[in-house]
Amino acid sequence: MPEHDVFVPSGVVEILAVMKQHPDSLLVAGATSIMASATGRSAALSPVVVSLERAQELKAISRTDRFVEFGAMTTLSELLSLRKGTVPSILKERAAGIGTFTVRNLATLGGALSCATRFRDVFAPLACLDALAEFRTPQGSSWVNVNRLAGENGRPVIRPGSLLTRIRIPADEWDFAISRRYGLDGYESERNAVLSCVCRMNKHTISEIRIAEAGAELVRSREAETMLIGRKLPLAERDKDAALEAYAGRCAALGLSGVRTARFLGVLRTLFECLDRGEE
Amino acid sequence: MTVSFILNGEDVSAEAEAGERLSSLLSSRFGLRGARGDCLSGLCGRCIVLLGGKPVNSCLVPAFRVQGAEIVTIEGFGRTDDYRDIMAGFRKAGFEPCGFCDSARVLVASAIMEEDPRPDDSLIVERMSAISCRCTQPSALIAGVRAAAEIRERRVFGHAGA
Amino acid sequence: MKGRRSPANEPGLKLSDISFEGMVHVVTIRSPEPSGTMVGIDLPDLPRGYFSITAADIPGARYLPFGNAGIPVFAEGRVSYAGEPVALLAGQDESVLESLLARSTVRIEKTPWHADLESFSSERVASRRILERGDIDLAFSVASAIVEGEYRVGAQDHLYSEPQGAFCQFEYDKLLVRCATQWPSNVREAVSAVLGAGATEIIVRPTALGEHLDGKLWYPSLLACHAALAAMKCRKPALILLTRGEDFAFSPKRARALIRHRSALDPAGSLSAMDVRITLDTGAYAPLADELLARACVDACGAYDVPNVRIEGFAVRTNLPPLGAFAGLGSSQSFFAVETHVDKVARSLGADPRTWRADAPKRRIRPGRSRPLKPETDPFAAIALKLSETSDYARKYASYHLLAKRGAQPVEGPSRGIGFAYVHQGSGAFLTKSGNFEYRVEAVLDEDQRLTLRTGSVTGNKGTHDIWRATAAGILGIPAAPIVIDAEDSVDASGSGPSIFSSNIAIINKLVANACTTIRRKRSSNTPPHAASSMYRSLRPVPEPTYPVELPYDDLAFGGAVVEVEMDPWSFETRILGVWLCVDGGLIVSELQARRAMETGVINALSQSLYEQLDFPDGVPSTCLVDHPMIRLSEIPPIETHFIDSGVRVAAKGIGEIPFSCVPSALVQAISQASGIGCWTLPVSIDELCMRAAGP
Repeated sequence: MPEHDVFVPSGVVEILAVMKQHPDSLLVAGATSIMASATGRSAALSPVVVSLERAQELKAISRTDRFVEFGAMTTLSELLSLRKGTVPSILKERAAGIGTFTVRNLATLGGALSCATRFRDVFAPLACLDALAEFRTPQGSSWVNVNRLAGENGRPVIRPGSLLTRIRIPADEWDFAISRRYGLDGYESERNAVLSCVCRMNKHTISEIRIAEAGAELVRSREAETMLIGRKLPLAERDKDAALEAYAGRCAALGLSGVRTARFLGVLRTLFECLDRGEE
Repeated sequence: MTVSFILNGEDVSAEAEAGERLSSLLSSRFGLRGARGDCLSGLCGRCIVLLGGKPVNSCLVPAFRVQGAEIVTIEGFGRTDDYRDIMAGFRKAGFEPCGFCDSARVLVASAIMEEDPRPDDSLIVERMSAISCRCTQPSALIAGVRAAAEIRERRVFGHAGA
Repeated sequence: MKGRRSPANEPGLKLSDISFEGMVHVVTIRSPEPSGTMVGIDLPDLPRGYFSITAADIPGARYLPFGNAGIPVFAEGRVSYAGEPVALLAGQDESVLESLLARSTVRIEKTPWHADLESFSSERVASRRILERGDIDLAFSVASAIVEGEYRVGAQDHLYSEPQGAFCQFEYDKLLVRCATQWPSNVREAVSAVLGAGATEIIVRPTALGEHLDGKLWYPSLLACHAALAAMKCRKPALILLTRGEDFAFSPKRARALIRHRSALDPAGSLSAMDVRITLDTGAYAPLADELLARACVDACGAYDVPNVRIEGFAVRTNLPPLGAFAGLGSSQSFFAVETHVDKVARSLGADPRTWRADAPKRRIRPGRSRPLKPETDPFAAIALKLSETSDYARKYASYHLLAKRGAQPVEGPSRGIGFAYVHQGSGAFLTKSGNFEYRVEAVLDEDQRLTLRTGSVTGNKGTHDIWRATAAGILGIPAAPIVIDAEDSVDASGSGPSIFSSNIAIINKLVANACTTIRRKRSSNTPPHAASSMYRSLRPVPEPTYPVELPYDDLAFGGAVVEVEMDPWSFETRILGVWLCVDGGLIVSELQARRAMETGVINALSQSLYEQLDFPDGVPSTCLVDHPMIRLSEIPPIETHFIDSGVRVAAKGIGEIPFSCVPSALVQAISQASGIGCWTLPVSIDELCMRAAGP
């Protein structure tokens, strides 16, 4: 039977101390990804495991006029149980699509942002909302825009040796916010992705728009977003085509498969129609 | 490692690998086979147990996470009044699961009634979607949970809601 | 045996419940390649108390009697599919076995593997069948129009309630076998042959079956042989229970099908000829290929009476796992193809497919044995009428057709489609000589008016027992609840047929009725206890090679389905809005049970049609369980089931396969109408629709 050292620290300072002492330790939040990817009776773990379960600071939820902030160990069920208006609806909708409610009783928001193989369903709305993630190391802390958790190739970037502690979501008002998942609910597959969009309008003219599509890769195109700003609604067909072309170029640059690109562009077209009709 | 926890109301300990699934621990060390999941990925939901009162997929819980926790399996829950209410409700509605997903259905039904003593269909459907089984009978299942909730309400409060 | 119960001898036990001190677990060493010559097996040093079992340990037959050449208990020399068992490891500790298995390797010299249904060599043909009627060449030469289509049905996993497995234990001079099987007598025959023991030395007691979708027909026999060999070698009780992942990757699946239809139409738009070529992938060793192909060919023209017919069918061996039964054998693939094809035919004529179907001449039903219908009665007319009334099909079809015709824009919101399909279910026994079985029921009514029914037939759900009870209670005028149903040990059930084609209703329920009717007669003259038995023996094979104008089944039930969908015009995300099912199943003994069976069948048929894609790009599934979803409760649409009586309700008929044979085609037709893209493949691939819409 393989032996492991399992640490169960009660706070962030203690966690950082263990991390400093054991730089190769495995931080475990809800453990759902680790266990689901194992095939046998046990999951293979690093020799040193740090369970974040008892760190109460990582479970705190706070709200100000400007943002709502979640400890990284907030479970998806806890996030979903917050009363209406506390959490942006596009984030709530996507959190509700991850796993089943029994999985969401275990899975955490921090865990959903720390997956190395793909972006979980909450990522696209968080990227659109310009959410910030706080990372702590024994040396200090830093706030990072979640969009920077994707590398040049669009794939997730893991920050070894750092602890994700908080996720801060700006409490901005949006005139239009939508999030669509394609593929099948409750399952993680290469074929699944989420498209999210938030938009602000001034007299039927787009004053700000953010569009993020996230699955195995994150697709964002500042070029297309800039192109759409200042356009009147309903969008002219040529504007839609130009934006779609920009996104197709971005997909090609990231090397996305034909199926993924076709589905993304299809959903994007639907999104533009919704934007025209003002239907979320 | 040695994991110590409360299992169906009793303090227990067992030797386990840190990454061993709770479902495996329950069946191999304690002979509790009511959690019948075998997908090992949280999809089928048949291995559901209550962890700290909340239903979770025991195949997704590593042994180290159980340290100091309180676990209730169908074998323990089967001794409660709530269990009898649920079984009576299932029987009343003619709901007959296949024999392999029954324990998960019962534990999820208990969680539904805990969440809302008078659950509506959408809550029942959403929560019962945690279990995937070829035997699904939606109409009887929904009727069964509603009947169980009424029976429970009558037992606890002496009357059933409108 | 009786009176002495080991922990593994309890009735109603689940295989996964079997666990006690001293028993060994068994794991399987498998071929890593789909095709090749086995060079050797490298095993780690086995600790004391751990054993390996190979073909050299088999004292008797090395093949199970399925397929043309049989199925090897262990691959020897050649391997024919990835995951084929080559040896076993047995020992007490499962985690030690896991570790030993991980360190075991099978050396294979690879050879090219085959899974192509487009072209295949003659040595890969496991069964061939040609059925002809009339002069097809003449009919095509004078046809007003010709409609062609190609329809594909993919392999699918049963995802039954419990993975496959078996347990064996020697008790005195007998071997007790426990497994979840639809066919206990087959388990017994296989184990006795492999051990070289007399059949009476083997006792088979089935464990709980759960929902099986006909996935537990013959494979439990193979695993029972494995468990028996392990029990013999280790001299201990032995349990083999596949992991779900292992079962998903290597156990039998539904046979894949490629069906090409070419139809000639006369000037009135009626079918004057059908030329159908069926290729079934029966996987490695092609178990049950004859029966599968016979059913597929007999049902190739579905409900329709066509004067000139040519059906050519092939069952082909490939290097995929053995493929075969899945909620029936062969017919559902043919129904998918023919119903999707007639939809295409009707649309090519600009006709409403339902109206076209209703007007088309139907095949006759064999008089006498099948049902006492008047010859002119068309059971489908009543089904079509009921479905139209309840689903509002005609209005919806016309409306969606109009929208599609005038080129509805995506801006108008989701598009909708509606589909319609007919089906019949031939129940009873096998059509081919491979199925000369008998089924038997014994009934005993004691002096306290307690009735016991004994049968070797097993059932996956309690509802079937309730139906038998209700039938017996109705005849004898006794309460249903106390009636005892006792499964026979297979020691007395030699040659008993499998529980398939709804035989528990179509055959066993009739035998229950016959036995109880005999008891009712005896009751007035004799003293109790009253005993009676009733037996059914299949009357096969069907005469060949002519095309059977009259459907050759013992009994027939009829059905139809309407499915309505809504689809996002750009992403093709599909939501099923409703399913309407209409069934003419003769006497419905328990409407509650029948309604539930239909509801569950519809749900599984929808799940398989829209979600459960299973491909074998390298000879093993491309997906693992994590991304192989089933439909979730929250995605299930409203389902309406109607039972109708188009004739005289004389007996209960098998209806269990009806949803699996008509819902998929109705769904695919609805998706084709909603998307404007012809959809000919099962399961439907939304990815493929997207790609086809996006163009080259």
